[in-house]
Amino acid sequence: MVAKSGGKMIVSTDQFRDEVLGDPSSPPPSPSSLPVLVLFSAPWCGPCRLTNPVVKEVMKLYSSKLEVREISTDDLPDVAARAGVTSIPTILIYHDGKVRETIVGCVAKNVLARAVDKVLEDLGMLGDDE
Amino acid sequence: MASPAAAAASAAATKSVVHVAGYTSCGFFRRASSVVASLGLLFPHRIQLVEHAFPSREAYREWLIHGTNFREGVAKVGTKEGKVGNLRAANHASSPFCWLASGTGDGAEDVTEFIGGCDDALDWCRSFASPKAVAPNGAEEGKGEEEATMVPDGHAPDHPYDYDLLVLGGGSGGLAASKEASSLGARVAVLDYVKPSPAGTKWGLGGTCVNVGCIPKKLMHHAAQLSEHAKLDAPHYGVGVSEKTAEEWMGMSRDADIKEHSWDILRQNVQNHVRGLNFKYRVDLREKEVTYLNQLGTFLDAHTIETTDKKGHKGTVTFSRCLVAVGGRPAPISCPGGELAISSDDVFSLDRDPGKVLCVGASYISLECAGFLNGIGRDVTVAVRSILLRGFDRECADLIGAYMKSEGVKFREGVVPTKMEKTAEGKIEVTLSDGSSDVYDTVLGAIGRTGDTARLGLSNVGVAVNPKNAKIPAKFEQTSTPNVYVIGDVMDGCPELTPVAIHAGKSLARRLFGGSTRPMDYRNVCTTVFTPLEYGTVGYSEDDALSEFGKENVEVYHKYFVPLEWSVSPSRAEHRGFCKAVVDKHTNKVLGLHYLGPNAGEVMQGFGTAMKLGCAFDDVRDTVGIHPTTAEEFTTLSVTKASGEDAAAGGC
Repeated sequence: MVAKSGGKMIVSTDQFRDEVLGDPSSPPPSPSSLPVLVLFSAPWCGPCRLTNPVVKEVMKLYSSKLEVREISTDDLPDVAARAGVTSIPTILIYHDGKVRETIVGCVAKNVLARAVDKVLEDLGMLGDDE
Repeated sequence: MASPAAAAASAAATKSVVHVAGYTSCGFFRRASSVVASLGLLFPHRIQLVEHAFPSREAYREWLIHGTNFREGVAKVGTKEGKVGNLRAANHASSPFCWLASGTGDGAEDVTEFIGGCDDALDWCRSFASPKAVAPNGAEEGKGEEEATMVPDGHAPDHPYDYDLLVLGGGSGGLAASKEASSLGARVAVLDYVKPSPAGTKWGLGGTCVNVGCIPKKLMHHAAQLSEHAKLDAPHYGVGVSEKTAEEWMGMSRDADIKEHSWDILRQNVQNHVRGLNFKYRVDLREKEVTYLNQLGTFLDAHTIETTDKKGHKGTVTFSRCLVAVGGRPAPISCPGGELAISSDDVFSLDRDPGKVLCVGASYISLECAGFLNGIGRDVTVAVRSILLRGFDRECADLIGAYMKSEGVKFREGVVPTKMEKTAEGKIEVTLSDGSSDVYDTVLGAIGRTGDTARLGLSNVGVAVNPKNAKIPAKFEQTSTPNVYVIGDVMDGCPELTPVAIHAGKSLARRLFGGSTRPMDYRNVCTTVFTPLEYGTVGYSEDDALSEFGKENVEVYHKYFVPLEWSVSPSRAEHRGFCKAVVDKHTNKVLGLHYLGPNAGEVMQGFGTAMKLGCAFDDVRDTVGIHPTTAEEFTTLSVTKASGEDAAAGGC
């Protein structure tokens, strides 16, 4: 199910474990070796709605280098709490089950893009195209 | 007041035995000795002098320094063997040498505290004899503040249960108590579970206030105020109009004819804010290390609760102490068809426009809802069984009713609904006890609230419940079962106000886990009713003051006034504000204050502190007012009801 931000909606704790944290017990190749950008948001939150188009554009920019997911803190409050989310919107960029970058609050596209670049660079995944 | 045994025990514990040693010809010795002796005459149960008079300076110094070396003995008191702890005592060579001891003996081992020489002794005496602050309840000096004497509940730090404190109910009181207890080191869990209203409405963590009470109410009241300002005030201040449009009406500005109001937008934005608060409270509990369980609890015994989650799975949780803070719910309308009515549980999230509304009841909930629904342009009728706002000041309640009538709210008085039926168009036909009937889109029942205790299993734990309102009686928030406590709306006799529950919750947590003995002060709590004409009050109503103190002992000062901002709007020509002070004639103490006008809550808050300090009417009158405001009207009150003079305010 595609969420308003363009990312795939995560609807269960298991799905979070498999698609974001990367289940270590699942057979290789692991589901995704790409970093995963997870947007924690809720339908009643104004700034979250402002963030949706930003995430959508970033998703387009990094389409082959980044997976994007969205989690509603209303539906999965425990996943959000365990991830340390205390305000929304919060974007966590995961790789290999670890958080590589945290962005709290609604940010502009270039700010989010810079954060994604930083993660990709650290992972040695920043390509030479563009 | 403390029991005689407790008083004697505390007196014995605090009697000071003051030893003064010196030589008889020393003036300082005699002075210190005589001051302590005088205090001993004045407060024989609290201070006693033991004098050690030496015949000569040599004899004194022999005892103090060279021979017995008393001062070294004192200097070593309380320290490890042989070590000198108190250098001041070790070096004191002059007369007198003063100390506190546990008894009248002259051994150094009885010494509890070294005082010093004459100056030190006099300083000690001054602080001993200083007046203590008078308690807000006017308790006499020396009698001490009232203490919350709770029954021991058997709580021990090494108990075998899951939690030190289990809180039932995540509302204003429950959350405040749980966070305070956790900050004091207790292991705390909160059970919060919202049983859907008969109409099926549910909500998140935070209780009544956040979800279906104060918060959405105030926002919707504000919507009505904004409407009123836009229609009645703005055009006359030139806002949203031009001279050209004004010209059409004899050169005068006129009220704006705004008919549009979007219920959908109001409801959505209000609910978004409420959801934000639900989220904030969840995060808050987590940060304060309070476990939150979205489960319904039922007592199995005095230390066990059976839990049920939303899927129906059951479990148990054990606790040393339990706090019941489950609040109340609206009482349903009992006539045939009464289930067609909604309540305050539903109105703030109603998924359709309320349309034409009948509010049943004359409580503040009914009048506040009727008020804002009318203010945002809906057709509103209020069905009143007898009087408006029972329990509040009668004169003020009547003025509120008159204002609402002038704003277009229809009142049917002396009636109750006898039947409600669904019509073919899906509306509700209501028949009243006077035989009349009418059709409404929405019927809002606000006839009272009862404690939410029916399925708590209180009989399994021996907690008594008042059958009239399903609330739990308590003393110092402790129920008939010592380890079960109660606060907030569900406690019998507690004012149904969020800040009261919060304060009571924190104060109880401090008593249970922080060693405090201070009781919650339920007196002189200021409160505001957010009807279209807002009403703020603290202390006695005029009616209660007259019945308790008698007409001959009470003076009432009153005044009608026009808030400056209303003077420019022609439609407000008949609107007036009102304020009243109920005063004890003999002591001049203010018994109660009442205010009807804009911003009643803001006006009243400061007076709450004044009342707490026991202010006199002259204190209020001597306060220089802030001008131009409505609050300052209190400072210029002068006309008494008894005089019969005109109570309308004069000019500047």
